[in-house]
Amino acid sequence: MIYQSLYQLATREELVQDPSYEPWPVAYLIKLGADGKYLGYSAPGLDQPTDAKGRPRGKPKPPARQVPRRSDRTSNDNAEFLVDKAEYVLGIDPADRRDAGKLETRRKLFRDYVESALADVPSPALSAVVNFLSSPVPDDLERLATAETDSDKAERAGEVFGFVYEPDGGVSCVHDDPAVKSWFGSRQHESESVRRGQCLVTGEKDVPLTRLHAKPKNIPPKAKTKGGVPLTSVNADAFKSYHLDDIQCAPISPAASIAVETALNRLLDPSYRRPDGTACEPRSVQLSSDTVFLFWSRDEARLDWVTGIESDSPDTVAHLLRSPYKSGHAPIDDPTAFYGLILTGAQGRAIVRSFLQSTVAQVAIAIDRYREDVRILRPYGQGEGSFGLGDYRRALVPRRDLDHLPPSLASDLYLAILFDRPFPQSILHALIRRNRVELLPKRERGDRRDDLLLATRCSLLKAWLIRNRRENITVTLDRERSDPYYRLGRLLAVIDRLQQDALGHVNATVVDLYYGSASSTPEAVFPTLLRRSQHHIGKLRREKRGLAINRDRLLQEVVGDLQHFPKTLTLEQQGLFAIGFYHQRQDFYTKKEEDTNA
Amino acid sequence: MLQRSPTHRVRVRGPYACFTRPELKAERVSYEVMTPSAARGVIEAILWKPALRWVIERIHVLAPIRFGAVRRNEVNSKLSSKGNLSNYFAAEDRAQRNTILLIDVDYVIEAHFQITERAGPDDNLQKFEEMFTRRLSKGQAFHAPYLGCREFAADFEPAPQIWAVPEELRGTRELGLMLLDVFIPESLGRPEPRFFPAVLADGTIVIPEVRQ
Repeated sequence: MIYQSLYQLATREELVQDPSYEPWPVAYLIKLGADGKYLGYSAPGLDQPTDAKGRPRGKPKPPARQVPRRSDRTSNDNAEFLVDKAEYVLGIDPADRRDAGKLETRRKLFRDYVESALADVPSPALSAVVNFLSSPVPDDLERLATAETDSDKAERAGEVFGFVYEPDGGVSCVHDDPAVKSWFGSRQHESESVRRGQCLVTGEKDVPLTRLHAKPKNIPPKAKTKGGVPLTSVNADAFKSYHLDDIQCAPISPAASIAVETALNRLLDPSYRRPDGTACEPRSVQLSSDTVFLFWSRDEARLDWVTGIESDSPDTVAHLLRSPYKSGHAPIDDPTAFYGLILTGAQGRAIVRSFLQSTVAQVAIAIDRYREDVRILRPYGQGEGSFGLGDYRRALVPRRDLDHLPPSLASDLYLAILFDRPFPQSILHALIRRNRVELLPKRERGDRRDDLLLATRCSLLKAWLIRNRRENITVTLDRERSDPYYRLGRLLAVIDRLQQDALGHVNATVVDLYYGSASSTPEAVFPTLLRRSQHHIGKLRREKRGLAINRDRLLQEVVGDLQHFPKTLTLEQQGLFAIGFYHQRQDFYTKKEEDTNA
Repeated sequence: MLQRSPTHRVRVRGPYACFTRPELKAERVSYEVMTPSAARGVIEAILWKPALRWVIERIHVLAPIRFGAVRRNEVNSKLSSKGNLSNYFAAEDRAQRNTILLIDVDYVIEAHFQITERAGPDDNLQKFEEMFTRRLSKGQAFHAPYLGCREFAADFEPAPQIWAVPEELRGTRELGLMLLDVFIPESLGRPEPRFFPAVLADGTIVIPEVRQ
């Protein structure tokens, strides 16, 4: 279904108008007059590529145009048709790597290709190009191609030249000419494999089968996937069934292969443009340094809210879920199919980590549910709400360093959210572990501690317990809640508060020293803590009697009718402990806004 | 006209299965359900002779479709059947590959067999009927039947008369084009895969007949 749904996407979004052409950034246009007279060159204005959120990402590049589909050339001499780099068009290597003989060969190959087109298509534009290619390179082009600095050289070497024939109007390129296009198109089909068979994407019987399989670009890690990595490849004996190599084993028609590749390129590139130049909505989320999540729908649907949960609290997308779209449906009741594909590009192949199918409505409902599950009272007066997925991920790792995050964890969490599944067990482990090590980091200035990290973790813990254990947990402090784990967490918060009231600033608070043991072995630790807190109350009574009475009353309330302290707590119980602790702590802060918060 | 046997029903299940999509062979991704090709493989493990040709009619899915993923260290080459392995070192041939497989599968395969031209004088439908039924109930097979890949061994037994279709499988679901089988057409002389549009209706896939 993967290939088929991608093929449907390419058809619906009209991503492939001419299968023999593909988008490529053309850096320079060489202008030619009648008989190939050189008129100069122009460099079209650069486009700034954006990421999935529309922010600028990467260096500005020349805009992509539809150019004749490029071959799978690597380092051998093989000229592309009418649009190629300086080595082939001018016979000059900006990076100075090739010797003169080779460059001459390359320019000749390029010229020969155009000449063969000229033989069949007697266009003055083509003959102008041939004339240009037969004459020495004009000075300004030579200067252009001879770059100065090393970085310029590398860049210039890859930049590609196109041709514009002025007498034809001077706007479209020689390769845009319909006669040239169809010449190239029919040539493509001849050179494709002659084998025929049933295409496994379209089902058509007895169609020519492609030898070149889809090689999408931009699969992370991008450094390793320059030039694209194939999705289908039978490149070792072990994968040949019945001794069938990849064309025969996975028969696909050229049109289907190109459609699939183009659809993948479109999904992988947030700033992709259709052949007619219109932009496409971003449909990718990078889950880790080498995995990307792509999503699309069968029919046109509004999907911008899928990426919304990445950096912002899911509350920001709530209204999007309910606003009707062109199709007439709001995402929350749109029945069209929703597809998700997780790809990674390590090891020189495109690897499918997961493929999921659902409906837009179900995904919208899942996100809505997620929104409810993570809702918590946030610190610093931010009110009820939640956090972005990026924040949640950073809360799971030491020093907020995402390299420590097991990649499967990132994708499992993301999929659990989108497809309404239980959260992975490892999330619970990570949250509890991090709480024991780094509960309340010190702020940069002053005595205050950073509650945000704890809030993030408790928000995710709450969601975990609700989804995986069907717990019922409130957004704010639940005074009525009787379960001992929640209460113990509250108790620790009260004890900590007492210490602060009595002693003021202390280098190592009760929480710093005892959180880990209090949450995992309460029986061993709480009697001591309660004894200490009595001393604090005593001191408080002498200084601020009213406060002492209040605190004492609160202490009694929280302890309630707790008969004994549990010996040990399971991870889930430690989770409740953490939430109780946080809720109580927040309750202290939200009442008095004065100077207790920065 | 070829004679055909009545339809036999075999239940097959196992903890793991991978019915590899041909377009994603290197980093395996399984189809959602058993392919007719794999079904034929299971049945043939129970009983096959050159005199028989099995035709798969339907595949029923009894357990919800669950995917899982494993990463394994595999080797790139095939073993030579000639037998000289003295200079093959697996350590030099390794590649780590991801596999997307199915978890806890449960199918009922409906199939019948036909007598082929390679039948001997003593071969008749009834004989093979009885052989098959006997072997099926005893759990006898030439080799351990497997669910797509050899390492995913299957348990088999005669199919129950009725079963409950799981909630998730109710309704109709299009699975796209699925591998039907790999055939060796006379005209071509070499193996060629054929595909069919698979539709899962209330847990059942009907396999189209193949005209040779």
